[in-house]
Amino acid sequence: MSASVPSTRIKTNRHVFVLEDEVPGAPGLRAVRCRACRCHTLGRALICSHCFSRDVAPEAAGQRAELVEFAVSNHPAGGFSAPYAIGLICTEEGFALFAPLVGDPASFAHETLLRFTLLDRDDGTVAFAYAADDGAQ
Amino acid sequence: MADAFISGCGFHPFGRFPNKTLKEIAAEAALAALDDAGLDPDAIDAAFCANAYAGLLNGQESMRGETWLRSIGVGVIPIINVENACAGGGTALHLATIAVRAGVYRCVLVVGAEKMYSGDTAAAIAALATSSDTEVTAGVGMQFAAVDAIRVKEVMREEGIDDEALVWIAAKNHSNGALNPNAQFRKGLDAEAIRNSRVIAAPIRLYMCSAISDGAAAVIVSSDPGRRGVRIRASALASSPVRARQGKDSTAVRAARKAYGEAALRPQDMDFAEVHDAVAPLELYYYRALGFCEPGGVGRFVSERQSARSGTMPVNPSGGLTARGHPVGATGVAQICELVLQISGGAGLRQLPHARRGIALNAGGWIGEDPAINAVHILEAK
Repeated sequence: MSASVPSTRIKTNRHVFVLEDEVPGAPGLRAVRCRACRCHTLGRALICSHCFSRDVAPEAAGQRAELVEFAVSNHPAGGFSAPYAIGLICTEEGFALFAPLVGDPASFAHETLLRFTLLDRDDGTVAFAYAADDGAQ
Repeated sequence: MADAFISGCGFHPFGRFPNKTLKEIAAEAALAALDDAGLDPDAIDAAFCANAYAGLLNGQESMRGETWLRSIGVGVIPIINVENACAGGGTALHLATIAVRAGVYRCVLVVGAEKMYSGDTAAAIAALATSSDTEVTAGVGMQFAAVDAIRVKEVMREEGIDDEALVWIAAKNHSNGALNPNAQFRKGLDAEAIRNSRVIAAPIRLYMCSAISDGAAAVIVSSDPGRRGVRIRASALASSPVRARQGKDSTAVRAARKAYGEAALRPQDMDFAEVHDAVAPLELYYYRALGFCEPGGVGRFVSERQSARSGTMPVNPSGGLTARGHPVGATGVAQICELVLQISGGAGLRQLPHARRGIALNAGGWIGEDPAINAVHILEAK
């Protein structure tokens, strides 16, 4: 999609992830990439957290990740009905963050490979999550 | 740099007090600390007041400390309000310590207070959830019970620990809390009750968790040892590292390293500890972070019951957050009160036989990969 045609879909969190048409490399986690050191910094960063360069540009990240650990919560939160799974993940760029998981919790374990995915919710919003990457090598 | 001492400490008991206001709870603890130090309110040069959620839960967003202290006749002096999530109490003590050591003030009141119980549990949980980068965590499903469950599972996997270790730690803290007249839970829940309580986020069960709580604690920090005569040997604060550039060490490890460095002491020089067990099994994490055992040694540390009151390194003799309670702004100050009581021989039925020097770790919030803030204090007999 062209970056000149922004999405009209409403996201559950506009700061954390981007849709197909928002920034290069989307969909994925909202990030910037440094033109000096080529490293990513998570979020709406004004500066590269690796080298402090101000020459950064938006670029999605986190399409692939590895599960560090996860828990199944028996209490609803953030629009998720209980029980739901949430994981501490580490993306291929090295970002560690908490992210919702979709799929059978029994399929998750330490070092499970994950892929970024978008979810259309019943209320019409779009959320992000990570699912087991069955096609991973 | 001058020494700073704790010359007095006081409490409002932790629990649920539907007929009391935050002001009453805070003022009662402040007055108790002044009485313990043998001081009139006019003896105070400044006050640092810690609270996290009065804006959300009590409708008092600003100038909280001024409202608390007015009712005990304190005015004119600088009153500084401190907010740093669950580590507000430890942060307030850090600021007071700096001020006294620098000679700016001679006698400072530190009060931590919170009133979380309103009958609306969802409101309290929603308030707690704001102790994170809400721009990042909103709509993601992050809640502290799940975050703590993930952290505990990480340690269990790395250290080869089973669920029974978690049950034992929770039972230990409930047993300790039963001896603490200021604790929220004094029934001394046993292992079976804990094991059979409902799952919140596996492996965390209900009776492993700190509860919604009202309460306050206060200390007097002064350049004079005063009645209690407990020296603040180290006062350290660390915020969550930007790991991409600042390395892998956690907030807790960084704050502990600062404190040990400042005190020129080692973990084995400590006699006991108070740590931030928002859920009891988080103690597993702190045993390692504070250096009480080496990586790989946590399972043995637990199986040998070293953190029991009769062990080599008693942890949370007060009952910890799990049993004493966790009125957020008060928690860090309550930990210091426990250190002061133990070191000065005033801990009553839970008095430890060897308590010359203790360490407290107060954690707050979450940002990035770590708690947003950790305050670590080392106190010792003068």
